Amino acid sequence: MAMNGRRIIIDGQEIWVPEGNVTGRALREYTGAPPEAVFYRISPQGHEVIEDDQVLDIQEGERFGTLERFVTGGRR
Amino acid sequence: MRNIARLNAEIKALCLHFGADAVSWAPNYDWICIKGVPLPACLNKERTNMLIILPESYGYGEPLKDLFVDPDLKIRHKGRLVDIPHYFPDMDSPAQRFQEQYGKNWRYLCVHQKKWDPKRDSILSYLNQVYTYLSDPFRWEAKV
Repeated sequence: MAMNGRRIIIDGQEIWVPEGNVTGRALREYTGAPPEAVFYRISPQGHEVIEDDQVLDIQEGERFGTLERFVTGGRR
Repeated sequence: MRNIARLNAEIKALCLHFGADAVSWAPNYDWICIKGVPLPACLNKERTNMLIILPESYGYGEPLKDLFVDPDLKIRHKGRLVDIPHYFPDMDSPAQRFQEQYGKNWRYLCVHQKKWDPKRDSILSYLNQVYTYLSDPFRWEAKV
């Protein structure tokens, strides 16, 4: 059966997303990633962090990942 | 005490990922050094060496917190090469206790894991967090 949508890769797993723009929150829901996880898009420039309310124009075959939040420390 | 079996498995994974010649570690597992770790394109160098300090209880829930990288990294920001936030050039930093490393051409990069889950977290996942931070370090607020 033919599937409508685009194939993307999140954390190494193939996910099908519908045609049209997709929010970061929707992507998170597709993967079941917890709300506290950082969601990012992998590009030649680096990792672009995706916010939940961000609207994404997703291309076929794009790669995404999730990771645990981290903190940075200030000068003491 | 560190989880040595866990560390050996992680070192094996690092050797597969970066090449065996790129990975070295202290006999007592105080640190792991990786040569030629790729950096995001916004930095002034394509790769850096990394020295990861392993906490005393690594493998039993203690997160990774301390990392040294090459001392000459810069980031392109608004058309200029500028300093990376939370990248400390001197001993007046959270890295004061690492005097030995500061004498060996390293610079401290302050990226801490918040927690450590044995199923999800590893040295490789920490390096992924560091890469994500360096991709856009200005977006992360300072939190101590």
